[in-house]
Amino acid sequence: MKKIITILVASVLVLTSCSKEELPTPNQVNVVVQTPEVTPNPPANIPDLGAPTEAEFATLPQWTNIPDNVMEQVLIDRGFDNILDGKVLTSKISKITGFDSNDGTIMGQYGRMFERKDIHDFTGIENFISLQFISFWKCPISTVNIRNLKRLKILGMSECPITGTIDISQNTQLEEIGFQNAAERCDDPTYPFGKTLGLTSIDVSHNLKLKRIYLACNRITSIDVSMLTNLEEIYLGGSAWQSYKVGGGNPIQRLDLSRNTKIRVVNVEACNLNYLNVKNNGILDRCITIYNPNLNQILVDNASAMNAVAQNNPVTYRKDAHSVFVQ
Amino acid sequence: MTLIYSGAISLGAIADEFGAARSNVSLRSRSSAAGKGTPDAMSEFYGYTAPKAAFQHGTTVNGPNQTNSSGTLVTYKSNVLITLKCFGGTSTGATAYATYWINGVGTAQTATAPQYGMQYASINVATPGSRTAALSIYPGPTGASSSQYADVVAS
Repeated sequence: MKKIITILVASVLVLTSCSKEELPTPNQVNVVVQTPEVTPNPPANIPDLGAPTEAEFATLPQWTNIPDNVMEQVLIDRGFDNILDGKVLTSKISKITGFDSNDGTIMGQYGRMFERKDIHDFTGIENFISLQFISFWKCPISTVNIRNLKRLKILGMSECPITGTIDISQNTQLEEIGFQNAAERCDDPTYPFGKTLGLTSIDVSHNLKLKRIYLACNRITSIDVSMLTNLEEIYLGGSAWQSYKVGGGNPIQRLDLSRNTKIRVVNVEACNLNYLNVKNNGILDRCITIYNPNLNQILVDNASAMNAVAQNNPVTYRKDAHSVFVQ
Repeated sequence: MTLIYSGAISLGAIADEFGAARSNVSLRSRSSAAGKGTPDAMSEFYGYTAPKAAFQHGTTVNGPNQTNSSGTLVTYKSNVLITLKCFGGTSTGATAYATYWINGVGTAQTATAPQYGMQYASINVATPGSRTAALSIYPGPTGASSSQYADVVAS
């Protein structure tokens, strides 16, 4: 008897916990409605962070471990260290900004000092807390912990063998992210980027200051930039500069830029778009949408004006004949 | 428009930045156009933004594209919406059949509208008439490429 009551109670609980919508219906047909995603209003802009305070510096350890010998040698070569012993005085590296403000060059030589070096382990980078610019270009790393680099404005990770994603949620000052691989090598079978290497996703929802996004030749299938009200330029497509090389775009089907009212440049060359909305952005400075066989319409503010601009600017406006501006 | 700050930069990307054709791109010519001396290096273009033509008072030229999207002249039409776009400037003083000009860089107006590419404005030529002269636009500086000049686009 007790067993029967238990079964009855359990059955009632199961039935009441399922809403009507959750119950399967016979011969159910999945209908996909192609409507723009509804996204919440963007949060308020994030205030500028100044230089780290003395209190922040005080929280850092006296020594920073640098287990990668190549990385430490770079620091020695640049005068931030003098003995290859797996550590560096934190005070020597914690105030490096990477920009010209303390390295005397507009090219940001200290922000570039690790570029193209055979550094596999960037342990220690977390104490470079003043960095505003860092480039890991062609370093053999699939990921890096930059959560502590809260002043970063420009992050360069082009041609790093990334296999998934990178967490940039703590880097709220970012204005530019560069994960751009070489689109001109998209037809080179020995070049893995965009094929077996490269970002598969990127969450930019915490990076409200982003102005420029360079993502050519990755493997991203979708991206939501609706919250980026400062965004001016977005490069998702390959930019193979020799026209016979077609490829290098991310396999993205939908891109809605209608909430990004400052967009000036859109490059979605050789993506896989079937939906592109650039409304509320006026007439773009550059609009490259060519090699998207499924992109029949490009939603714009003024179709005739865009047509005329495209006609007169074949260099900065490149689109397929079947892609029509529609307002 | 700005070139990426790190990583590889192609000559094609530099040409794009200048709004120039991608064929026969010369690094020297682009460096020269950017006001850079020799020796030339691609790295000179990290974070580079090509300056846009500054429209200024000068010789009046005809708007190059006074046609509608079908290529028809619109100078005799009424209720024509004309969109004027230009690079790096702002528009003022537009009236029907009057000279339409762009303030040059250096005025208070453009100082608040920095080099973020095209500015554009629409004017409605509401009065039908027999205007035969082209809409006039003050040109950009000598040497500006054709894509840096203003276009007049009618719809």
